[in-house]
Amino acid sequence: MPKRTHRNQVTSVILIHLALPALMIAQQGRTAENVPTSSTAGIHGRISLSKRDDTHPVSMRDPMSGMYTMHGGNGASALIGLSPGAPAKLSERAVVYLESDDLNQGPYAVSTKNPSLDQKNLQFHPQVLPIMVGTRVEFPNRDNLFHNVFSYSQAKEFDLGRYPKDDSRSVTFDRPGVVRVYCDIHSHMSATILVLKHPYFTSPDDSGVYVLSRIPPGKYRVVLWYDRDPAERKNVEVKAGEDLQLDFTN
Amino acid sequence: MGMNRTGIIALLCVATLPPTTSAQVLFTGQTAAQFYKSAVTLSPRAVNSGRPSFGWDTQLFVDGEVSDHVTALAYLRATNTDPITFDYVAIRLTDVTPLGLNFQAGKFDLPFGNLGDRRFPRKNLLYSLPSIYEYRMALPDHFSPGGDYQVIPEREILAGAGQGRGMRLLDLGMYHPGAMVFGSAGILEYAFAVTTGTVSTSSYTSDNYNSDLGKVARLAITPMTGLTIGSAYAWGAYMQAVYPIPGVENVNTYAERAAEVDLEFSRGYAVLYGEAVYSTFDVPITTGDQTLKVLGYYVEGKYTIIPRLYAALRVSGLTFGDVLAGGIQQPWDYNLVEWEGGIGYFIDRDVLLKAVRRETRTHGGSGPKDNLTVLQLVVSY
Repeated sequence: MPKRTHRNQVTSVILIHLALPALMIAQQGRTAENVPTSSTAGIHGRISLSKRDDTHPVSMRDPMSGMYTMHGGNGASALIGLSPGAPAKLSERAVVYLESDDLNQGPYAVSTKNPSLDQKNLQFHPQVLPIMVGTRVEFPNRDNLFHNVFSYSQAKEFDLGRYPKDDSRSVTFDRPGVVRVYCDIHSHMSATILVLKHPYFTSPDDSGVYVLSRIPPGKYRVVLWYDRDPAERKNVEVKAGEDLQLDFTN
Repeated sequence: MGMNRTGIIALLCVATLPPTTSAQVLFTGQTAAQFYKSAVTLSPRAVNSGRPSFGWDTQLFVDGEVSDHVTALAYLRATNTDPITFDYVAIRLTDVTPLGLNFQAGKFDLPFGNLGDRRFPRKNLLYSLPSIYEYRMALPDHFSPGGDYQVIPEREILAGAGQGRGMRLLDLGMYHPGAMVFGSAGILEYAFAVTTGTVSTSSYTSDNYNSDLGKVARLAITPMTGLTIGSAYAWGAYMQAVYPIPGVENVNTYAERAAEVDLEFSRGYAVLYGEAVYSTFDVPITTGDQTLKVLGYYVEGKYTIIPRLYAALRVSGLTFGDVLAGGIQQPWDYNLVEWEGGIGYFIDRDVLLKAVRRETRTHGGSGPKDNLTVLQLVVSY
């Protein structure tokens, strides 16, 4: 994998010469353990979205792909025991990230571990994937049928074609923005990739608890993104060494 | 505007589903607007006598999920040339037996071939349906009486060649009232349906015009992801019982028997579909019964060139067997070969712009060379 080797080398150079604390922040909000925290801060809290629908359209069967035909084409999926699973967990549907012009200045290192957007049980997993600009995302097919992942978003336009189970394609996202991802064969399938300029984002666990750590002191807007859109924004000011609690009860 | 009364009732039933926590109703649709210009010919494929025209069509899909195993489905279609029609109104029971059998009753598309949702503009690679679904052959489904009886002289069949007045080999989407069981076992899919008419005689009206029922059996296999090979057989009386048949026979003894094989293959950026249909019609001809034969086929493919942009091509045709007329064996209609090619560009995920050119050749008739150029905009919602 020459490209990955090259990427590792580049990452190493950046690590050595810049040595920014942010480089120690693992991708997708998985915080490193050994970074001094005296000059940074954190935000944590709980997301309570119990009133939000659990009957999101993703759970509906798709009339345009098989409901009106029982044979061939897209209809085949309805006959081999595959159907959209239960609505995705909160950890796959929500993201918390910071908005700030200061944070956008960087530079930040891109993780060498590629996150993935799985196609499984006729759904994307997760349904919201936060990444940093420059990240390469894998799109493995876990279903025993074809998917055709594509996006026409301004931030990234791609079409991966059709490939079988356990095969994968990858895309590097080199511009910030919101990328809407779909399957051309199963039109109910959709996901959102948030391409951010900085690494200050995280996904909650299934109970809604989230942690953003090693944040430089400053004023930020904390954004809760849920499914396809931002659900709530809150302005905060974090100070050095402070651990701020911020709950979302949308 | 004529509207299918049964369809309206069914739609109302769907719309008034009991408000249980599990019931969900989903409305989706497609609308297409197009500009078309065909050659100025007498070909039955000429659109609006070759005058440049605008047209439109729209489809509304109603999907009422009553429970995990019960779904009510409806599909309403309207075009600038046809009345509002409920093509599809069915109740579907899924996975209701230990064998995993599914059942549906109402009006639905016959399990014959693999046209699937390519019948709708959003998934149709081009503009037309393949000629085997659209082209009207010389043979009608009822005849003017020869004397007191419904028989047809050979010359009338031949006079209908290339006129576009008879049956289609596969009648548009082949929607019929009926009942169907279907299911799958591993890589096999199967279906059996009993309906009011045959694959060539569905038309917009759905009454049964004879005492026989159409029967359709289908088996398909998916040996590998991206490859499905299917086959179907359909049989039943096709004639309308508007006049008696001479002797002890009646229209129920004049059957259509149709066999087909189909294929779907896709990989990467390429998708390929194909279908071949061989059908026979028992015909009460003045000089004695004859069996008329026809072979129809199409192959079409699509290749995504870059994101948003694809190119598509279809070749389809009909090859007719002979009728014995005046002691001479001759084809009972003009053979037809049709090419259709075009490109599609997705302006947005749900907005598709297509530019299509169709060339039709018939081996005789008043319009042996015909063409059609279409610019079509399709939105789905």
